[in-house]
Amino acid sequence: MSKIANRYAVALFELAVEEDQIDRYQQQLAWIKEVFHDDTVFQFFTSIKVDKLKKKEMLSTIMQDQVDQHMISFLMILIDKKRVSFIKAIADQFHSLCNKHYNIQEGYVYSIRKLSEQEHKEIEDAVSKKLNSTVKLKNYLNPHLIAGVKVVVNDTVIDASYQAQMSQLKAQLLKESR
Amino acid sequence: MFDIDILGSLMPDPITMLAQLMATGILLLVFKKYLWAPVSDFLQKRADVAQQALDDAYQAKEEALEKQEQAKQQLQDASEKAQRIIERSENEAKKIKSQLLSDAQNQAKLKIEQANSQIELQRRELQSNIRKEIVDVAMLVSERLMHDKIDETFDRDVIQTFLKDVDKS
Repeated sequence: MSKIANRYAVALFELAVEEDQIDRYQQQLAWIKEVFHDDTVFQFFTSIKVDKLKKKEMLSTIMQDQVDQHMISFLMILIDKKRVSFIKAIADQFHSLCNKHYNIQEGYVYSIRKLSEQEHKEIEDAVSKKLNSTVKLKNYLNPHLIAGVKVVVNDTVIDASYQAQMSQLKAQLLKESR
Repeated sequence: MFDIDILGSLMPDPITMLAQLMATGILLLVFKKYLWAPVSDFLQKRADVAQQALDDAYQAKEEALEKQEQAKQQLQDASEKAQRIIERSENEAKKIKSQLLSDAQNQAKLKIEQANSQIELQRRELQSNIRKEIVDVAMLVSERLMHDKIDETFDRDVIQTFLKDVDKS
């Protein structure tokens, strides 16, 4: 499934690069993904009982004012090829390609309280500098951390929480008492 | 009185004596001519038979003695052999006994060592579990205390320290 989605995403991404419209396409695909997130819409466009023409008409009606013609044509191809069910995977894959293109890495920052915007930005900047790429972090709450933050970006984990320090202390105590 | 010529009576008549001598000579000649050889042969045969019997008896005796000697030797050999077998068996039995004893001792030693190491292992495991338990409890109490004591200001300070550390590294 990921191979098929990847093939479509790469084709669309190459078109976006050619037209120098990467951000625009990314935004539009994010919006389309949101639209298809609705179960009724998804089932309508993936149902084999609904005629292709009806699907295309409906697509044109919904998307006409929101996305470019290229994007609509792309979605039409998906309808023709019966690949609409891959739209979410294609959007995710496209998003990954964009991140790769802009050297962006996405990750998570866990904290015991919601971080202020300034703290969030400072942490993103610091981690970006450390990883030598633009890092975008989502903030999640984890009261078990006691204090501090834990940053997870792909395979990189920076744990600056008191929970980690307590774990280290515990390991050290157990090691020394042997 | 009677006149008896005793001396004359005692002396032999020479003619008679001569006749007797001649008769005796004739007898001797006849005897020698007709009886001597067969009697001699007969006697010789008897002597040979007797000698043969004696020789046989002697030989039989010699053989018997030899066989007795052989039997004696064989008995001696058998006795020595039996003695050797007994000695060997005794040695073998002693060796087996020694081996069995040694094996039993080794096994007993091994079992004791295994039991000791098992005891030591369990002791260490127990100690480790107790230590782990103590550390767990200490950590739990510390975490609870920290949860109660730590406020937002402290958390901000921790984050600022983290940012400085990341910046340095």
